[in-house]
Amino acid sequence: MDLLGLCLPYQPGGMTEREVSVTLLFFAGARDLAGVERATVTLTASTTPEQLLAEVVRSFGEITNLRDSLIISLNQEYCEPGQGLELSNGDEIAIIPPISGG
Amino acid sequence: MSDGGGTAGHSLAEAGDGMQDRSQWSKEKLLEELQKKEEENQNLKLQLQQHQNATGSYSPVISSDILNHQLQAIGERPLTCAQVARYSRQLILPEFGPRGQRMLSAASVLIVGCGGLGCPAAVYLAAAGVGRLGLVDYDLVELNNLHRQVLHTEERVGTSKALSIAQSIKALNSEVEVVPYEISFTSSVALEVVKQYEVVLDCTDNVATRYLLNDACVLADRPLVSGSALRFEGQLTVYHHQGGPCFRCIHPKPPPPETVTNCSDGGVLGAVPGVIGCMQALEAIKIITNVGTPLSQKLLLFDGLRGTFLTVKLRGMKSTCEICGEEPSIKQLIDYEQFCGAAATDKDKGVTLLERNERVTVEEYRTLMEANKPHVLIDVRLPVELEICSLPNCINIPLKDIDKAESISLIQKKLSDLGSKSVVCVCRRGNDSQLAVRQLEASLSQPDYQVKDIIGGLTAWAHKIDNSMPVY
Ligand SMILES: [Zn+2]
Repeated sequence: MDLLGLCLPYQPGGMTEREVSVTLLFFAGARDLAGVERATVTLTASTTPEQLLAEVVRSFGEITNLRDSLIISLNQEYCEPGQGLELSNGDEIAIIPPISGG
Repeated sequence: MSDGGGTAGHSLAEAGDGMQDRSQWSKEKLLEELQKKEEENQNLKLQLQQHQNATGSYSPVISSDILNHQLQAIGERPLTCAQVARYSRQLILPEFGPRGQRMLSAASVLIVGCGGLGCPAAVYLAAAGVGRLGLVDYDLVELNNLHRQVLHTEERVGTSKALSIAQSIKALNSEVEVVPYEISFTSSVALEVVKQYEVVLDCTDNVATRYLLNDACVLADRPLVSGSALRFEGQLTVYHHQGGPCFRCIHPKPPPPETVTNCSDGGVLGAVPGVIGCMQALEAIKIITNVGTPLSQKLLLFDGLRGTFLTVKLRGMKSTCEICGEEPSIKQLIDYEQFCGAAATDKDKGVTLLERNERVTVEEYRTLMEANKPHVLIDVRLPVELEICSLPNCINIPLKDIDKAESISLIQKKLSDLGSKSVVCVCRRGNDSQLAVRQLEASLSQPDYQVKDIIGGLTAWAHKIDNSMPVY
């Protein structure tokens, strides 16, 4: 994985961020707002849940209001706010707002 | 009382006599006597329990000490022949067995919310033979509940949900002690009620009560089996159990009220809360009998449309959590409606966005209609709702599409065709129509357009103008 990063040409002013293709799974209200159940997107590989969400919002802007109440999981594991994440191609990221109905 | 005092004196004397005699008894004789006394003791407890069931089982005021004592006694007591016959199919499960059944019979479960989740949860807990079942709901049964709240009946529409479930449960399993609480579950009563039970089920329908119940369970140190359902999706997890997180560890901030959808607005297919409610009963039974692995620190997501379950591993308890962390800032229950900025109900909160002169009543609209005054009527509901009912000559533009360019040009074309400047918006209850008016005012370029909405929407129309229109 890191080899890929090394193969990228050196760019003055900073490294080009390595990108990967991942699957987003939207649940409940996020699904309604995004308008899709799942989507394949390209995201920055070295990221945090917040940064990842900011990138997702660029394509699925409607979910902005839910931002603070979402659970983000990477391959079915909860992501801690601020946690450093290394994404790989094919990873599954779930975007889960709470449901309160009964 | 004087009678009781006399009896006590008498038995004390008798006990004294007995002591003298017994000092001469053999070990075998002593054991035999002990067994006899124990049986007597059990019978007395059973009698007391039956007495309590016959007289006071519907009283919400219970003395937890007496009950705990009785239930303890049941837990130690071998199963009766009737119990073995009744529960035989679960008794032969090696993981569960008579041990599990005794634990279940001695246990108490509180179900908060007697709706789409509470009904299936209650029915399976009662059928399995849980000792005592508390049922909290201040609401009354409505006809539109029956498609998912399957323990209520047509006859009980308009009566208390908690009492209705209690009645159904009693008919299913008379052994279960049912305690209905026809109360609104507030910060002033929550902790007292929660403390009387070992396991708590969150079967509520709103965010504020979910935070309240979470905090009460942390303060009372009770596991919380939390279920929720909407449309075709459900969620299930166990909070505050075996080092797992609480609701606040995962959701420290309540969601903005405008992002929360209730069953009344969003809809729900009855079998979906049915699935989740049944699983809540299962989790409660697992916790009580110590069978299997509870869904602590795991969130189960059910997608009814796809027929799939996904389990996400959650974090453990958060050391900085405001209620269950190392230095909690919340030490007693707070005002949860204020905290969430939303009422502790799933009933619709009326919106008051427009001034009275920007609105028309249903009577005023009828006059306008009958006078054939040219205007464009925009129904801002979803297309599926127009299949249920609608007013004549409306055009359908759902609220989310109202400020799109093609919507605006359609409205402008209609207006110029009619030679009119009058737009009227309508929705189900007169809330979304107000939002539509505000958005249209901003989007329609000419300021001399008149944009109004119908107060109370189609619901008011059905009640006041046309009784043949269905209300949903
Ligand atoms: Zn917590």
